[in-house]
Amino acid sequence: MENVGSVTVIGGGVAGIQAALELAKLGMLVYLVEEKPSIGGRIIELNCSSCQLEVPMDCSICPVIPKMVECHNHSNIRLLTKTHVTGFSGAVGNFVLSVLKQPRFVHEDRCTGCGACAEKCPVEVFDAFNMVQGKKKAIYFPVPQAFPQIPVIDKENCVHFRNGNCKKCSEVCPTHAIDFSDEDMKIGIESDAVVLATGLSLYDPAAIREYGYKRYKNVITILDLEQMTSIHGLTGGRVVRISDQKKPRRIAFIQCVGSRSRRTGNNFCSGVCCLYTAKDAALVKMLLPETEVYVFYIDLRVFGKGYQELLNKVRNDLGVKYIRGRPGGIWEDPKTKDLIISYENTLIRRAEKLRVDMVVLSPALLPHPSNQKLAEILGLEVDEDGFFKSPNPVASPCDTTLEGVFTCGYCRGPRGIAESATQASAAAARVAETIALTKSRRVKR
Amino acid sequence: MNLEYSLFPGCVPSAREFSCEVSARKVFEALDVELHDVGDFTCCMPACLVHSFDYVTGLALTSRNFCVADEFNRDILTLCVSCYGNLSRAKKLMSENGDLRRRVDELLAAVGKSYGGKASVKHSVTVLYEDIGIESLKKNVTKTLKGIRAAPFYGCHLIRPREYLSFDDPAFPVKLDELIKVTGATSVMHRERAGCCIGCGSFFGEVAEEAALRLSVDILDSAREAEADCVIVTCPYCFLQIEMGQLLFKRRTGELYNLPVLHYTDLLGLSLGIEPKELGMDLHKIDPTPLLERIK
Repeated sequence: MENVGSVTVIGGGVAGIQAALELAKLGMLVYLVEEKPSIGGRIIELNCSSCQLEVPMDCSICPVIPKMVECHNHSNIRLLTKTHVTGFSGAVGNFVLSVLKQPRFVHEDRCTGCGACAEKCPVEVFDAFNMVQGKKKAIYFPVPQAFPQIPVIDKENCVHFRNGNCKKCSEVCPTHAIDFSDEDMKIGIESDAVVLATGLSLYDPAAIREYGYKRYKNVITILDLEQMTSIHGLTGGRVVRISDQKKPRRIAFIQCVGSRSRRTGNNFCSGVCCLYTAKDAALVKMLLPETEVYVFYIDLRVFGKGYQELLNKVRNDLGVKYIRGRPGGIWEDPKTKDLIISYENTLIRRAEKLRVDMVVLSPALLPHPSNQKLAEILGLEVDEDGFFKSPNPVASPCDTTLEGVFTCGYCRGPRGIAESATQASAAAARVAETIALTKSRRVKR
Repeated sequence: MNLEYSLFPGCVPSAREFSCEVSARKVFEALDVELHDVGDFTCCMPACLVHSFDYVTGLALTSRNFCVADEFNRDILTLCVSCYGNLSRAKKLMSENGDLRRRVDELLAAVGKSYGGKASVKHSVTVLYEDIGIESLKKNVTKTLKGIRAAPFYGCHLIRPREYLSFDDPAFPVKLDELIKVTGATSVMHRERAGCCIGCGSFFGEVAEEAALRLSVDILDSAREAEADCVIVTCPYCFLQIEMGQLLFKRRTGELYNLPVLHYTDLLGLSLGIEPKELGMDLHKIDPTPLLERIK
């Protein structure tokens, strides 16, 4: 296919993948820059379960995996994982980006993804990502569905890097792909346009001290629950209390943890929690029909097609109990590790208490912290919350304050998976338009 | 040690709950801390009083107390967490909001005063923990209260709001527990330890007695579930709510919790070897005698 232009997409989540694919299909050369070892963004942290658990629900991750594979295999897409942007110059039509690719210590061209290295690795470390998945090796796949399907060495925990005594993974590798001498690599990328799709980060709910996250074992986040209900999670898809591995008889979900709050400064609504909480409440109810499920909410913001219907079904048919009120605190019974939630039921204006076995928090979804740094490097503007600004949010929602640089997904404002993908297509269209105009301008000259 | 403070007695210790002041005076005397009486202090002016119809006047009335304290060049020591909270809030506002300070000073000029902001506000418990310190308290303990299970009740405005009250963690406070352990007693974990007794809004009890009583009963249940022998409070309002709440509950239902409520200074006083009567414990409505017998 003729190369009709080149684009750099920063961020390999749902939005970044979608934009990259659209542009690659137009014949453009796409550099997809992702700071993690695998593309897929936040979505690969969500559960992968429903088919195995025989629950009649759509899996969170299924619709995206084919796109990840396609993106990974597309001949027009150059995937740069473990990479971040360090410098930027030029103008629309000839931007130059400097990026830094951090070492993976595994040769990407040679590795076949067989996983023999991870099996032989003698180190087991606690997985920092969540409290449920638990352990990982010092050479590991970020998630089972990682793309590229290439493991990465955790330098801090690897015995080789600590004392040079271990080469087990290297010895067992059939293609000699392990390279302990791998180093930082600086790369310059020339591209006509840039798409930002940096996505989101999670608010740390431990900062809301009264909910006791990380203090009480049975207070977990929605991502922990997603991992728990994942077939590849530590519990193999079973929902259990962390404290005693028992089946919870009562679960409470708390929404808006750290969002819509003047105290945390995150005044905005994350936009997706009401819906995914309903989905996960339904999942729990289907897995454990005897379990009572409660959801604490401020108000219910479900406005997409079919969303209200799902909520109605969850409330009316599955019997999930919704309580309007933001809990004031959680107390753990020291003996049973049960949790007592204090709250005001604002519909009947009464302060009440509820004893549950497990609490699931929906933390605020914040714009990715790298936005600030990227804005400085690229010379863009971010708003007070850290989202990229558009000169005209209504007429040109994908544009930024710099011509030739576009945004899509959560980095522009709170939105769900479907809307992020839609906007990624829109951003791709804007890129194509811009490149076409730039080229015709050149021809006229 | 030579610590000196201007005592801000507050209306509740002065007019309703005398034992609070009695025990504080006795304990600080035993610890060689001088509490000076300043006749000119006025009400701390809770936010629900004058503030609600004239914010600046309310703030001026609170701030006037700082002018008085500055004349004596000593920090203010309060006995009540409501006083502690209100004075701390005023101090924060006056030091951060220049416009507000100017308007308050205009009002204070009418009584020939101007806000200087030298004196800081302390509570008897913060003085014991921060200024005197756990180690030197330990040296003064002559009688260990081993075997007493004490349920701490922190009192909202000792620890909240965190914007201007930073004595301890507002959700999981520990410092009162440490102070209880100094006496040899066991500090009991219970769910309402950082709860609210609604005492600071004492008017709330007047308009919504049922709701106020429910909170008191909740605190008592919480302490009883944790098998506590007594509740330790840092504030005369909390004391009233939790102690008088028991009498009110008995009048309603016939059931008496009979859970003695002690000021922290009572507990510390006992471990310093002070007689219960000297600490004003004979004024308590829930008789602490059975508890005291166990200490002997």
